[in-house]
Amino acid sequence: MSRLELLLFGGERWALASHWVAQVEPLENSTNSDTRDLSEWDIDNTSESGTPHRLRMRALGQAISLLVYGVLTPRVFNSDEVLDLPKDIFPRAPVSGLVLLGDNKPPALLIDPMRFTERRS
Amino acid sequence: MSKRALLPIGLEGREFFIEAQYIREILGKVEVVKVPRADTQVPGVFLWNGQALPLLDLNFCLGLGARSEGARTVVSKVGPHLFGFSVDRLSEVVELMSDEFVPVRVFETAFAEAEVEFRGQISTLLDLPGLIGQVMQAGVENSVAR
Repeated sequence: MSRLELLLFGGERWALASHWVAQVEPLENSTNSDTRDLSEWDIDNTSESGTPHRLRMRALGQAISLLVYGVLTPRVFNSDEVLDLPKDIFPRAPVSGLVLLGDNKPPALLIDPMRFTERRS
Repeated sequence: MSKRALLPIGLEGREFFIEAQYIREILGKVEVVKVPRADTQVPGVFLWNGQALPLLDLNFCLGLGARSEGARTVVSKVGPHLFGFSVDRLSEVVELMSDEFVPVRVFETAFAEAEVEFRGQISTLLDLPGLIGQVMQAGVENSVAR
């Protein structure tokens, strides 16, 4: 089972393993300048209407925060609800899996935060 | 002379054959989840039997232009690789004799293995293993270049 944060960015739902997240805070209260977001992976966010939040991430070897436009209630998913993406087909993708949300919702893509550190270094 | 079992498919007004041995299932139109930073030839995945399968853009791979958004989806397996691709139309599997095929001379298309006249039209037999091999090789090259 995996506990995942469910996030909004670019009008889509995204997932991120909760163990990566140290803190979630509204953007206006943050002083962290090293904020990254999914637009650097070509995700269009020009029409965002949600509330900006920063997720301070940990255990990445460097201080990184992720900007999103909505944070939903975290959920625990069974292993059969989190599907691996074939890495050999999508080696440049900043995501590692697909999360089945149920209730006829489209699946969320599971963010691989290690890709942010690879890109910056 | 041996028989070949083939699935006739249609794309962009052209007729093609796929070896039936590579076909696992025929689906309707599937919901595609686009993967960020994916190559144009494999823009996303779709759900199939509890797996996220890559969806090939067959139109792009064959140099036919517009993106495939066909009404049917073919799930295929080549070696260990499971893929899907959309087609505009398809019909029942047919059997043709191997000696009915001739070298490609009418439609020079990427991954064309041979041609055959079928139901009054020239159909192109696709080299699906060659196409999948090229997709896998592109993934390896992109991984190295990342």
